[in-house]
Amino acid sequence: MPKVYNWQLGREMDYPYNGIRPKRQVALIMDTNKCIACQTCTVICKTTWTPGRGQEHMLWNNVESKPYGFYPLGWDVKILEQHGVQPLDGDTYAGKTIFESAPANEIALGYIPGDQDYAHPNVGEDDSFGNMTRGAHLSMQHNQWMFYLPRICNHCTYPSCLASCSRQSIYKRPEDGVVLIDQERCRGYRECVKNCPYKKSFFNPVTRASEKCIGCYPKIEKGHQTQCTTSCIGKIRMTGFISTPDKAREDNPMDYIVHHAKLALPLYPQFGLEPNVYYIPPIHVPPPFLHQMFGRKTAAAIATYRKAAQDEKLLGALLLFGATERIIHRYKVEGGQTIGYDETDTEVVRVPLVEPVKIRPVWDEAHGAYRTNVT
Amino acid sequence: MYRTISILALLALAACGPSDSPVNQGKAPDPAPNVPTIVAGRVSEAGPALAPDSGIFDAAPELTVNLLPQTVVVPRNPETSVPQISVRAVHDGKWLTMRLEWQDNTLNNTTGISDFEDMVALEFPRTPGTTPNIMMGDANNPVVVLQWRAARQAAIDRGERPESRHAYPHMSTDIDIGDLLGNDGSVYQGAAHVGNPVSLPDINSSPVLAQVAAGFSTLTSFKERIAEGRGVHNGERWRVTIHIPLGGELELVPGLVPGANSILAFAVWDGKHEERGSRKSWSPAWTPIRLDD
Repeated sequence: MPKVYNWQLGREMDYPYNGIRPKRQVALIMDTNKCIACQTCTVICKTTWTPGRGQEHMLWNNVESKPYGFYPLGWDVKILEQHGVQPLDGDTYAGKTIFESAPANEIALGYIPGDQDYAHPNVGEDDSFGNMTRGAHLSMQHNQWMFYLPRICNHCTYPSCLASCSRQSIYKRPEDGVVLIDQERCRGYRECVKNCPYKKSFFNPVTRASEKCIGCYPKIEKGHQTQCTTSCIGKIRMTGFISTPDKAREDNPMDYIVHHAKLALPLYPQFGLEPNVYYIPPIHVPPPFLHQMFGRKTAAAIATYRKAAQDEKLLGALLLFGATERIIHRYKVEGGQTIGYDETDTEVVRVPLVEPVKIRPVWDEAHGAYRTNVT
Repeated sequence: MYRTISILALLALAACGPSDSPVNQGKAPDPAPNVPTIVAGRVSEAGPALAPDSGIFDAAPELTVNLLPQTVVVPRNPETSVPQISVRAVHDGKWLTMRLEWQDNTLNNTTGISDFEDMVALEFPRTPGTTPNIMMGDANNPVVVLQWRAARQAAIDRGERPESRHAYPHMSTDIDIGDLLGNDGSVYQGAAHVGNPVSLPDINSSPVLAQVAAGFSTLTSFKERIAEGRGVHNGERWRVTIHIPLGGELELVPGLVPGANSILAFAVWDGKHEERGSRKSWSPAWTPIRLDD
């Protein structure tokens, strides 16, 4: 089996195909600290791409509560159980990926979810971890915790869906790294459904072919961020292009956040797919849980987040979230503002690092009335 | 165990001889003496009108073909769900009808999210006289694969394109995109919209997919050529007929005419065991077939 280099693991790993990276790789960063699970992203994705017959159970984008929320049911604990305990410490991952621990007759570890597993996408919503002890009351800091995890296809550098498709119906676009299922060639074998550890390939029982998140490629081609990104009322997401660490540019907000500040981390990097959705981990969740989800650099990322306001470049990059529909290829912080540029290096957005504050007196002299905050 | 079977399968492949053997070029291979051969006798009427339970097959000689689990390429099938398939064949000069029978006590003819359909397939060399790689042929020696599908037949019998409610009769949806958009809603039927044959874009098509392959991962449906077929499940076994047009404008397997010899191979998928694609039981060696004059 060919060897490919996975920078998230810091080593080469087995993969069924030679590692050819796309010319550029689309990626998302999601700030879990800002997500309120309003599901606007879920709904706009659903209405844009999957309102059809046979897509009733499909949520290419979903937001689930952790630790008890899953869509489909138990998706991560099931594959983690198959994967077994893996060593997560050290600069070089010493454990096995899902390809390296594949059973004798398979490409990778995996399972096909049951019908019912898709039936309750909000299972576990807002359920917190830990028992309420006698006499417990609301206080800061809470002893119980939960957080929201928004999820889409990771458009992995080494997709397991692609590796598993015996018809080679799945391909990774060289121009942007979006992973797509060829709807003309797919025969619904569901090997991709089985072996995507994130369970973001779905079978359509009406067309009898499999489908998945298309990364809103028609928007990407026009320089726009994805639907789930631009609809996000919490401004928790940014879509852009990410480089490998050796080619990271400080003036690319994606690169700055992921590679320079090391603030955003891949989800379950130990699976070995080099996923391209990066999460800013929740700061209030016990480290051991996050360690398993986002890898060993979680604690450092949380420390960085807590002092993000002190790093003007980091703050500038974070303030570009939700500020424009355009994909930002370059940014700079200047004069108390963060300025974003599109692919043609044309300025598309300008955001102040500190929002101007105007304090108005409660009594409005002009109208002879009290100003009342009605919200 | 698996390795042993894989080696056996490879030996069986090797026994078939090189795919471009000059001996075979352009000439239908004669079955070697004592090699079990399927003999298709001439009858007054073969073809789609011939039902799987027709008494005509009683007079046709039966050949039992042993099947092995596919353990050569991943994903592999660790166990044989269907160890044998019984084959009878007749022809009327216009159609060759293969009647395939195997034990299967579960009917799997839906395609829900996590259920799979029963299927059976025949494989012939696309070029007369060649002995292609039995595993989907090769670049120089393509094969014709005729695959009957139980869920496909069920949809055709219903006379309407597949719907989620066929697999989930008690489901309800608050919005029906078809009601909202009419034909414009078809864009949300990705595979069907682009004419993927497994999506059954034409409900009047056949339960049998007529396909050609020239190596792994190349299996592609013919756009116009068709084979017909019908399966009947009696609670314990499947009986499936696959009707192959002989010669003429509908010709699917060149050289397959009365008086000719050819070879074919078999594969069966048991939906209950989630078999699909390479997860199947198959005959790892070509079986000769002779069509009586």
